[in-house]
Amino acid sequence: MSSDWGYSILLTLHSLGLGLLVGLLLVIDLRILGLLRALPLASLRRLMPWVWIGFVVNAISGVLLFMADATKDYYANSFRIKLVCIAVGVAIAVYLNARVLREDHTGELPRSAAVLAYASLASWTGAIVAGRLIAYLT
Amino acid sequence: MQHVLESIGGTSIGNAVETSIWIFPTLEILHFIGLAMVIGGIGLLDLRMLGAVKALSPAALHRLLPMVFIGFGINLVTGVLFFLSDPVGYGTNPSFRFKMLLVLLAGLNALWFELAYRRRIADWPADYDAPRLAKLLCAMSLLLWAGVITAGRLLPSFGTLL
Repeated sequence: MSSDWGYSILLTLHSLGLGLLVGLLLVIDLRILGLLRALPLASLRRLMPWVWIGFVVNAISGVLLFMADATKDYYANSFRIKLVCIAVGVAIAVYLNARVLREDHTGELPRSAAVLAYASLASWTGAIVAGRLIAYLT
Repeated sequence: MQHVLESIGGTSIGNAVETSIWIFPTLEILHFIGLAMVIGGIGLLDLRMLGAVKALSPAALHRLLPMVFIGFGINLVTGVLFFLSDPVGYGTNPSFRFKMLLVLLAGLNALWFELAYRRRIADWPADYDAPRLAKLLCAMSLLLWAGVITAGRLLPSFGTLL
């Protein structure tokens, strides 16, 4: 690693993006699970642009962090698991945004929505766990 | 100060965090999850007060406060355990001291917001345009928490942590 400062700044951006991306998806998931009913489901769609800003910050900083340690990261199981968790988490977010947050649901949500919200929470927790372990297991 | 820090370092909890292979990374993972809870709650309310997501009512977002407290509690406990694993390293680290200062300022900033608006927030209509002082406090909040994350991430770049 040629620039310790560059690396630290990328890690900082990756943490700020995490706060935005996971923090806002956490709010959306909790609402789908029945907490915070004062927030109309459809209004949460407005959070998605901020979620994607967090995602783009972390995609860019993540690619650059990967390039710094490409050979080590590529063969690390924790890195591969992290990427799978992110792919699943993003797919669920896209689906929930399109199907659950679109209509102004007034009654109970279908059970599948709650299952997806739990799966979302599990995916992002998995991404954080696997991501942190990259530093220890490579 | 050095003596105080060194004597804290001898505790069995501190030694466990320092020597175990698993405890430190587990605490780090919890610290990141706590970070997401704090930012998802406070950061979102701040963005709303600044006019970013006006479809969401301030009163509803204010109900995220318990999540913020749980996240902060997780990070306080995990943070104390990090500190106990190497009190001298953390206590003498300029980035750590700066981070603690920023946490204190962020807390006082949030307290000011609470004392000023806690009672009124329930009466604000969903699309309410916040008063200028509220916007200023929320902009400060975003900057301070971003600073907390930055100073935390830069800890290893300063001083002599283990």
